[in-house]
Amino acid sequence: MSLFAEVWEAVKAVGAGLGAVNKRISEPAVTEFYPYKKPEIPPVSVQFLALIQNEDGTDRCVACLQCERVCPSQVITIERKRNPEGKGFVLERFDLDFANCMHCANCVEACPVSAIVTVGAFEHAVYDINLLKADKAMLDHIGHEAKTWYSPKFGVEIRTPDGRIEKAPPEMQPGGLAELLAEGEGGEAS
Amino acid sequence: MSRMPLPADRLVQPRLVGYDPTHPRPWLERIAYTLFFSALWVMVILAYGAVPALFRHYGWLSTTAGFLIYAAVEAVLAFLLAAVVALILIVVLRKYLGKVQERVGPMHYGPAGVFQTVFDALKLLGKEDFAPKRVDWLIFRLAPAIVFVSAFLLMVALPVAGGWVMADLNVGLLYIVAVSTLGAYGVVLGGLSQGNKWGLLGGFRAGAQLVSYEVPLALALLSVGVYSGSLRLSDVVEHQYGLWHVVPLFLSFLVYLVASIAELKATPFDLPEAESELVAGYNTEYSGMSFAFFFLAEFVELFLLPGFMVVLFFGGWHGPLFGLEPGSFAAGVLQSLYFLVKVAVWVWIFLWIRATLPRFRDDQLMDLAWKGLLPLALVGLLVAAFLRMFLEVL
Repeated sequence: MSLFAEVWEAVKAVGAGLGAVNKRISEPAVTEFYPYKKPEIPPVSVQFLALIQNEDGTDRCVACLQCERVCPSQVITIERKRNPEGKGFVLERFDLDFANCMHCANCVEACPVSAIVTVGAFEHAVYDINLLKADKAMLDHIGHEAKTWYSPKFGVEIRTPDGRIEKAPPEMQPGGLAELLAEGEGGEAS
Repeated sequence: MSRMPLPADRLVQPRLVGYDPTHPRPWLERIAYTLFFSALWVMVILAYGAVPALFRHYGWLSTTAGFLIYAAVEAVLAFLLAAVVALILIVVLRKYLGKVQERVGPMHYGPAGVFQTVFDALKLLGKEDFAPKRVDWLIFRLAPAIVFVSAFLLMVALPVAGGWVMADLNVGLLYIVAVSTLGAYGVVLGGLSQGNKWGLLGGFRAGAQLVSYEVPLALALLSVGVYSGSLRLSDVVEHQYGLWHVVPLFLSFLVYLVASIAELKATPFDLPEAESELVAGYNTEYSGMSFAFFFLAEFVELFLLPGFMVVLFFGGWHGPLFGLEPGSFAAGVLQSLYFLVKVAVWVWIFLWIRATLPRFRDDQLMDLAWKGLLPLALVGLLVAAFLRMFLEVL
């Protein structure tokens, strides 16, 4: 390659680079304005755990200890007693140490009644590590504040403005179900 | 009991003054930049035109005291102009690089973040100017001053309009070469005196780079001098009536462009302060106002080197005068506007190049300087001499 051809190649390359840079100016910034503009968390995302209570205020939890058993970090501590009114157990204590929790959501998968669920609340960083040791009242509180939550057994559930708990429509459900329904509709149409 | 107590400061949000990310207002930014440019224009008019005209009109320059006062006022105005240039260019650079990299750049202080540099400067003023134990104290303290003074002295010779120049030297081109080379000393000494390996490497690289790029730069300036037949910068500008030097002296212009980017230590040639290799190169150990003076000098040069490029190759202050008498104050105001617009365009192109090209390697840099630019500059000098000869014959 002669010197002039090399120089011409270099000029072309630099020109292409300058053009590419100039094009980028008009493109919108990808910056997330986090504290000012909250991101929308998808309904199925393991950000935090919560205990869900029924609409009448009773616990969904039946104190079967499955979550305590599967927890790999062993952060769940449950104390229970016989139900004096009927069969089964009632909770006396449900502690969850978020400082050591690894957010694997095994407890959510193990729960037979979808009492412990994953919620999208994520702004729970604190300065004192002891504040991350949650008791039952706090887990209930997080559950009451949640608008949507997810468990593998019931799928995504939503809390309506008047306080009822409903199963979310299929388009809010995790990929498999929504896609299945969409495929089914498409199949019928064709 | 029930909910996680929040620390008190969790509820305090960072401030966003005049900028709402949910409703971006690009016109606000444009107004701010327009005001910045107007402030720069006013400063240039004050420093180069109004104050000298005032002193000349009242005849104060004939007395010694009057001349001393004039010199002091001009020095203060030149420093203010340098500060304004640096304040504007730093925020413009950061916003431009942000846009190129699909970020937003500074946005918290002032409308669209345009006062960010003011707060940066206040922060640097408030910081301790710390010198480590092992530094060579005198040279360590002297280096930022040398770098800044060399950039500052260049302002004196910059002709912004017809007759508007602080010192119309008859050796203006030589003065540019001499004073801008002085800046290299500051950088090298600052790098070597701080007893830090990053600083040492940065100083070495700066020495190698700046010294080798002075040669083609000086040759490019020399070809301009040969072609226009004068070393006086205002004569060089006058010589460009009819045809800007960029057309006949295109080779010299290219050499000047590349060499001045190297002189600026901007990105394709930012080896002395390569952030990803050396921490900050020659200004690693500097803090507070010493660091600010390095920074200030860099951005004043980012204004001055395109400025001299406009003076030497792009007709300086030339432009339509709309019937104003050349040499009058109103014509000077208009001519300085033309000059500043040309400089602004070239500053933008410098930033553009800075945003585009990756960094050279050390040996590639020296290759380019000695094997590429030096022969090119000599050819440019030859072309200038031949053209001058033909002009003389005609």
